[in-house]
Amino acid sequence: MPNLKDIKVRITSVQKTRQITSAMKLVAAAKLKGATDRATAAQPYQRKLGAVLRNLGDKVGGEITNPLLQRHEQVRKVLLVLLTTDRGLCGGFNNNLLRRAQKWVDERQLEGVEVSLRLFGRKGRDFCRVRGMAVADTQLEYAKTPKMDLVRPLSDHMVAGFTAGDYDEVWIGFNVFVNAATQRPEFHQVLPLSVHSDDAGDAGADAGMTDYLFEPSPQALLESLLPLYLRTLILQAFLETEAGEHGARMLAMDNATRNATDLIGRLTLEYNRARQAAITTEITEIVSGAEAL
Amino acid sequence: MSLNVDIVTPEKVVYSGRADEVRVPGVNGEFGVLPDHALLLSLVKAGVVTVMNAGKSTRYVVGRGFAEAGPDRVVLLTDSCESADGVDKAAARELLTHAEAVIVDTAPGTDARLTAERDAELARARLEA
Repeated sequence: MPNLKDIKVRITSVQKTRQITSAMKLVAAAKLKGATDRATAAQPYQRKLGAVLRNLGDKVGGEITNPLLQRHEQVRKVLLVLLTTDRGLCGGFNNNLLRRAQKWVDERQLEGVEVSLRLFGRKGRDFCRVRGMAVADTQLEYAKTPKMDLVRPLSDHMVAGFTAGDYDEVWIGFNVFVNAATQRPEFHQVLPLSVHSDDAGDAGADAGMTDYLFEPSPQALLESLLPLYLRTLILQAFLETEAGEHGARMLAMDNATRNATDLIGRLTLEYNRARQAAITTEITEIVSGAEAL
Repeated sequence: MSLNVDIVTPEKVVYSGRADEVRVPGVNGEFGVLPDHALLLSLVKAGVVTVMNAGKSTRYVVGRGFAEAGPDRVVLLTDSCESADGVDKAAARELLTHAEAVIVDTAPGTDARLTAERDAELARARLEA
């Protein structure tokens, strides 16, 4: 028969766990609000910039070139930037992304492409370490750094590596924030940038308009807008990762809290049964003792 | 007929609404946009943007960015944007002095120099407001 005291101890411990998970859920929910606000607030800028660039790209498409738009004929080396979180307890958030990433890397390597990995977040590092994947660079504990301070050096690194020919393509892998409960791991190609309307959804809005005036010149405009666009793409990825992390954690902690409640219920039932059994035994003993007199 | 104006920073949409006229500090000098403007794409330097609507004008201090103008719309994408009324002139003057000192000390083209140039431009725009 289970020991009364043991069950009591277990109940207390599960209750404590539940307290923690439910607090974490509330914290995640509060952070989620701020993070989604930031992620959605950044969207109009990116969308408008993308639209303007597509206009520009369509109008002057064939005539001008920019190193950031230039496709490399042979793809030998690829940079993959992966955004994971530093902390766990957020369900399959990191694992879904990382497993996809591993598959992605394997496939590219089969094609004979050398993949260089650049990781953000402890979870990504741990994953790659366990699986023996080579990693070029890792950045941990990045959540507290202002996003722009992360984005700027990263985009500079991408641009420098891409123009120097160290990388023929640059990809970024992160969890797209669909809503609080859903995050979808995706891989986006960021370099070479593509600014033609055929690969974007909101084309056609300005169709039929021609003959832009450019100040100072289309070439100069592209030169300053393309790096800006690259940065907004990366920024968006960071913001969505942050929002997704909190969303995933909120959900995971909600489940954990519910499981703890169920478990406490079952344990309490067991405890009461054991208690009743103990009382019954005691009474039987007393009664038979009295009869013996 | 009026213009559809959007002033957008990476953080948020600062202004979105109708306007009769918008004045924008382009890299080649300030330009005004009235309805039926030709399609224009221009880089914008830090400065003051004026949005005029129904006789009222609102002024904003903006950072570097660029503007797209058309017959019925103006889209201004900028690094930063603040209302011109709440500018702290003393802080702006301090930023300008500091930035100018850095510009003198650093070589052209370095990161520090570029940041300082950007700061100086923004500080001047604030003082101008």
